[in-house]
Formats: sequence, structure tokens, C-alpha cells
Amino acid sequence: MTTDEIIAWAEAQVQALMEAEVDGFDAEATVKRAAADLPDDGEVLTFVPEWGAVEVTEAVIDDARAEFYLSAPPKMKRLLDATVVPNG
Amino acid sequence: MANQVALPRYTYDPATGRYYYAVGGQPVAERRVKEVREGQVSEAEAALALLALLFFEGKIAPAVWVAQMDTKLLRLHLILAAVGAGGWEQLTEEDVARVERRLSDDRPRVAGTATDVVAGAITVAVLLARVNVYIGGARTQYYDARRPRLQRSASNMMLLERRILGNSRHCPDCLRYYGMGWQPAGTLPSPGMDSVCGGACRCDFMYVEVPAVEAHSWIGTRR
Repeated sequence: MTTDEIIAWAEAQVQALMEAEVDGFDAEATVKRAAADLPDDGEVLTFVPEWGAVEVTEAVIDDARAEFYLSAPPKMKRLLDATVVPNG
Repeated sequence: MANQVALPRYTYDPATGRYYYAVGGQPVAERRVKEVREGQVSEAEAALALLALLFFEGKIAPAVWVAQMDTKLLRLHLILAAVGAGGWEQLTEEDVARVERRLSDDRPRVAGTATDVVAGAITVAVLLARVNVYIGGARTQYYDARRPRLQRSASNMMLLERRILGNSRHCPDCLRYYGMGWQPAGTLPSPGMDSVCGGACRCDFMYVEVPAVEAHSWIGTRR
């Protein structure tokens, strides 16, 4: 695939993810990550990446926190921000 | 501004393993925490089912599907571990390592599923069932974070647990665990572990604290 074709493919994939109700920012990050590992032949229809071990960083935890805020019911949004207090 | 409602704040007491309302100090009902947990699971099921369908239909490329699954599952594992642990501040290195380990094990499985879809080797029903299993794997994080943190209130008390069946089909293992009734806390496998249904399991636990001298009359029953 040419560079222009890859760009067009990536844009189409972002749109497809957003149609699947994926947040736009996440959609772009996902496609960028997928595109980074595309082989030289750019065979986007069949390429499946194989990634190594998972690493949880502070940024990953922050993303999970944001996802929880978005998805939890209003009254429970701050549940996971609970501070440790002995309740006696 | 006058119409804004302050969102409730919470505290967590490691001595009891429970959440409390920061204002008033009342314990948060267990069913509310369960609703949060199952709400996250349901939301993931709906989101990833739609994603899987679009992947199966060829609208989403395999690499993109794998990447989005990876992102969503990692967040789900962390959220459910945090719900079980008592919040983000309570996550330990062990909790995080467990998330990393389980998701690292799942990565090749998700990639394998993507390869199977590309090859036309599985039906959409099988794809959706596998996605359900991956989500169930995340659900085990809640139990593995929570169970070591459960505490009895006094040395003369005993904490008991029993498995309850969820709203899904049940494998023989889960039926057997349910049939065992009340057992000392920490005895029974967590839902999703040591059962044929694996990540498809949606069973749960109930807990009761009884005087240790009375525990024998509870063990094996479903009273």
C-alpha cells in the first residue's frame, strides 16, 4: 500500500470504530497503534499483530480511571476514588 | 450552578473490606458495589459484541480489532481489580501484576481468534462466545482483589461464603460449587476459575459472618 492508501485506510478504520461507539480519541490511538505494526506489504485485511507482555503504567491506570468515570452511574462515579479511612 | 448535585464521595476501610459514604459514614450496600461491577461487565459485553460483529463483517481490520480489544480489556481488568481492592489507591503491586499476567496470557488468545476470523474458521457465534470469555477473565480480577481483603469483625466470628448461580447457563462445576452451600471464606473457587465454563461464568458469592461456635451448623447448608 502507498502512504496515501494507508492514510485513507486508517481514516476509514477510525470512522468504523466510531460507528462502533468507540470514543474518537481512543479510535485514533487504536488505529495508530495497529498501523505502527503493519508489515511492509501493508496487507491490512489479514495482518494480526502479536504483542508481548502487558505493562501497566500510570498512563494506563489514568485511562482506566477516565473510562470508569464515563461509564459508571452518576452516584457511583467516585467510588474508586475512595480514600482509606478506618471506620472503626 | 444551583442545579448541580455533588457526587457522593466514598471511603474504604481495609479492616472490614467495605466501602462507606464519606458523609455520614454509612456502609455502601454490597448490592450497589455488585451493580457497579456488573455494570462494567455489561457495558463491555455490549461494546465488544458490536466491535466483534463489525470485525466479523470485515468493516474493522484484524489489527484494529486486536488493538481495541487489548485497550478495552486492559481497562476492564484494572477497573474490576480496583472495585475489588477498594479503589485505585488500594491497588497493590500484586493486583497490578495479576492484571499484567492474565492479560498477557489473553493476548495470544485474542490474536488467535482474529486469525480464526480471517481464515473463516469460526462462526460469529463462536467469536462472540470467545469475547464473552475474555470479559469473564477480567471479571475474576474483582474476586481475586477482594477475597484476600475480606476480614472477620472479631476473632470469635467466622466468615462464610457460598457460590450463587448467575443469570446464564451453568456448567456442572458451578452447579457443584453452588451445591456445597456455605463454606469457610476462601475455600471455594472464584467464579470463572476451576470450572468448565471458565470466563463465561457469571456466578457470584454471598457472604455471612457467624459466631465461630455456630459455624458448623452452617457449613454445607444454604440457609
